[in-house]
Amino acid sequence: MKLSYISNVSTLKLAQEKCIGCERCVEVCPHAVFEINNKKAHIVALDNCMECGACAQNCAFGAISVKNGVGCAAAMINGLLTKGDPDKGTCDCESGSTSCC
Amino acid sequence: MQQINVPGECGQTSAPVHISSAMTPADWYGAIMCRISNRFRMKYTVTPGLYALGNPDKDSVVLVTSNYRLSLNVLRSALNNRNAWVLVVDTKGINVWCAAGKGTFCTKEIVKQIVSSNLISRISHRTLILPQLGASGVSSAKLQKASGFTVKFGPVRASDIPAYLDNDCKASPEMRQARFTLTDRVKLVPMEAIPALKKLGLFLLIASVLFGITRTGIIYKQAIIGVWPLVIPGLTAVLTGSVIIPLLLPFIPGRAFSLKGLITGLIGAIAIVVLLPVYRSSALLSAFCLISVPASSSFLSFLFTGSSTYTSPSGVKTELKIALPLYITSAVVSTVLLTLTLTRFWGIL
Repeated sequence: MKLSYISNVSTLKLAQEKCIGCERCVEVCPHAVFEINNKKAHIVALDNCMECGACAQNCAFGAISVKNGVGCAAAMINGLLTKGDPDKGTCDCESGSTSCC
Repeated sequence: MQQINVPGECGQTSAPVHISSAMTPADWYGAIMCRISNRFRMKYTVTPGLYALGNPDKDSVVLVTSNYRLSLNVLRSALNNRNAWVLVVDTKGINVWCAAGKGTFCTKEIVKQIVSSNLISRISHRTLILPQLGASGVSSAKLQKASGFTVKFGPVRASDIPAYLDNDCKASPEMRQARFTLTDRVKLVPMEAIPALKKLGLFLLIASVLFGITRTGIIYKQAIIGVWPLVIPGLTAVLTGSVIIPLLLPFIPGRAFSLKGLITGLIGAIAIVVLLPVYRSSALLSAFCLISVPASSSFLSFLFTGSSTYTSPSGVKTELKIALPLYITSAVVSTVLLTLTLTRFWGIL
């Protein structure tokens, strides 16, 4: 069974005019968000995107942008409580105390 | 497995350490301990550097991984009877995917290990195979430019590497997808449930002290009588939020983890109130159960997003906006209900 997370929230954007169809995004995406058709990448499953940033990081032509991060509630709650910003939180898998990831 | 120690320390290039794909009892013990003890897991590391798996030669493939010992163990055991170079980079003992997300499995670190291990003196080709899940931390274009190596991404799972290598380093679409199978989720249960149980234990300890307070000091028996009704709701919340959620994730309605946990918690709370007369007969206890159990279960379930393989930060943020006010409200209401129970228990009301 395919697990689906909350829809219509991904920040993934593709500027197709910059794409040369190198297929790197298809290669690195762990959730089959992209497909190549007519030598251009297409976003075919936006709601599967977990915003890991692998595609944007590996697009040598700057065609992909995403506000990437780790979808971890512990990190966001920590960020909100300690720095007032959910994006600035760290979860324990970085420095090492309790469980996450 | 041979002892894994200190290749290339202090910038010197030492001979690559030989490793085999055989798993020893110590490796199995390590694999189990990593799933139950965070303290163990965080120290389960190998020294970064170049490792020789089997008897690699100048044409053997180069596979890159993190210095979490479990990652290296999974990789080498998947490569049964094969020869390969394994370049272990320093991720502070964190697995590839998390380290890539946090930026320690990165272009710079891989370049550093290529140089310090003097990799190019061992091989005649210039191709690196990176784990696909490392891609969020590594720019293949930058790595190619900086190292002169062609970068290929292997499959998501180490178990697919032999098939990937045999297929001329091409992964099938199935190999490229991160999954979250029952086996994956079962392994995560202890690390979800154990920290939750520790927090529950602390809560019960504090509560028992409060219940045990009398004019003549803290009475042990009274503490136990007072805190006993809180044990079952507490254990139920851990069960529904940290055990049932991981195990039955695809079958529980809702996409939001907080909603999934709320549903299982609510079922648990209703079961307590319906099945146990002690709770049914007390309006205070019933209310406490029906509010605190679903809320705690939802919170524990929400934390599981961090261990899942498909949740996005935008999604978690969306959940947080709805879930956090709910958690704060139910915490306040639960505290009020507990205080009422406590004052009644003390005989004040």
